Amino acid sequence: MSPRARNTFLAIFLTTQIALPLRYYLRADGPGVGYDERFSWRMFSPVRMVRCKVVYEHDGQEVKLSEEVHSAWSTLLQRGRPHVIDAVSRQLCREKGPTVTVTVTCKELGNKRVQLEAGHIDVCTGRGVQ
Amino acid sequence: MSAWNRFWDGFTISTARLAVFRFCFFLILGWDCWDQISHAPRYGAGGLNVSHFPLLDDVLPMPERLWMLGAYVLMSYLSFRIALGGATRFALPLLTGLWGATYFISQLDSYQHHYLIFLVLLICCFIPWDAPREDPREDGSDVRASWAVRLLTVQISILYFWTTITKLDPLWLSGETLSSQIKVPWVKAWMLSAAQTLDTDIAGLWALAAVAVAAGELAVAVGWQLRRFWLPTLLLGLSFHAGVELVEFKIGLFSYFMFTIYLLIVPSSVIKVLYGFRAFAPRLPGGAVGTPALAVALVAGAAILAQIPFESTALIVALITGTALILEPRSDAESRDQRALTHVLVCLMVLGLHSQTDQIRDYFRYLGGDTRRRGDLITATMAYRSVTEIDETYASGFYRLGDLLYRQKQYEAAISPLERARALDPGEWQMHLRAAQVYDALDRGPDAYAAASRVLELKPDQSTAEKIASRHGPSDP
Repeated sequence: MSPRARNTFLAIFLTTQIALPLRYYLRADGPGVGYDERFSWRMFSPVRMVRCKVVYEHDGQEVKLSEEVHSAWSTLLQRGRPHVIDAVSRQLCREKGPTVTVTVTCKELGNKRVQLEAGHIDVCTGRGVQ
Repeated sequence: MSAWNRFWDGFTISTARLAVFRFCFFLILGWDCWDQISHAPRYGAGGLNVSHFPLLDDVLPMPERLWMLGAYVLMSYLSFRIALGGATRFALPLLTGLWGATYFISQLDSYQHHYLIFLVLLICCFIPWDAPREDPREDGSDVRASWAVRLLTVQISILYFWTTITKLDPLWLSGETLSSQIKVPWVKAWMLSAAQTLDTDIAGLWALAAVAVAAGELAVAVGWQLRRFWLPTLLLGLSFHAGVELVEFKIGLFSYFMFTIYLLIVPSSVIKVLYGFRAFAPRLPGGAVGTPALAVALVAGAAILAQIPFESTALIVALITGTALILEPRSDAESRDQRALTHVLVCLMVLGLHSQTDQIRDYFRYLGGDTRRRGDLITATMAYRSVTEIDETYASGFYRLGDLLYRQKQYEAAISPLERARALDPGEWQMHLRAAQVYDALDRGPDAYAAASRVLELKPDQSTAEKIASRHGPSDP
């Protein structure tokens, strides 16, 4: 490997290792946005203790998640992973059609309750639900 | 030479240290790859996936359990092969690519240390494992420069640095996080006892422990970059990771990986002792036995895979034997013999893992459990049939198979697995109940009554068993 190529590799590698964790700390503030700690080397963080209750409803009836998605995804839903919540929403919209709503209520360390989704919007159409 | 170049190029490592690190790290990695086999069924289940790059989800392929299974077996094989000193030039980039693909393809694997392993593997691709040495010594004390090993140490410092930053959170510094995360009763009791002995409040002691962890991690981050502080860094780092294991955090093999990475900074005297064990490594006698040895090696590989009831054995055999062929470079006879022997040993290691662990059984068990819950009874039945073939003493597997056949109204077929389950675990009332229901459906009164009676012995108020028993029980004279 030439010194130039080596230095380029090192620069990219080190920049990534500084930028990715830094991105976590410079993120926009808001409820639940810090629940995704991937690539930030946040071992044993307080966020790891967050537990969320995610309830999907289709036409007003609660969806039995265990019959729809693998239990491993349910575990990630319990951690409030935003991309996973969105993906399961899209999946349910595809398979069941509107109206699908989701309610996400999380409990952080110190018993602080955070409501990420209140179930007022049909995630398939983006319209409000009565 | 600039300070930048001096920093990277001036780092040296002995042949012995590199060999010991390679052996231990890739041995653990091979184990870890095998350990992930049971997780393969979750990939692609129900057509749902979220990759680690969600913006690319629309263009990335959906992971499939069979491909993940094949990748894990192949990665296990490659890791062991590298551990035993084989073919880093081809195997290492292949392993790195496979590891990266299987990790980044889905957030189902969210272990932070698996991300670390990817980075370590990437760095390892640039380590001069087999570079010719100007002054080779039998005891491996000769050294070589390697910017990649320097980068590995820097990566470890980066990890400890950021994890220290994580712990500047008031919730960590107050000790609340640590006391919540530790569930092991003896640690809680020990902390309580220590607080009483020191006449301080328990919350303050947890806070002290939390601050000590953060300070220790920062010290380790710095220590990895200062060679003269390697011994205290080693002791601190090993104590930390041993502590993590003692308090039973669910973090897979993370601590064990870290133990092997610390081999990069253990005293040379320890490395010398460990390197000495290579004298026990098996070696073929000299002579041109390369071709037969290679043939035996390939047959061994195929035979091992035939032992494992994969869904698509042919595919896996093709993958592994094909890879073995590719990785066998043309070289002198002795080297070729040695490589063939390594291949046989690696295959035996894979077979050993298969026989000593429940990963393959659990692969089918988890597949069966998930498909059963999602209503795919045909796949679930196939999976549990495999479970019972792999482990003939696993009562739950026979029960699930019988239960699935009952649900599909295949009553005659359900009898055999349910009877086997009852024999294996006679104290479990559900197994007797399902058997009673099967016999009831087949109108085999005495058998239904006997099974239902057994349920009522174990669970006297079981209403379904009561109904079956009353339906088939002896009439009053």
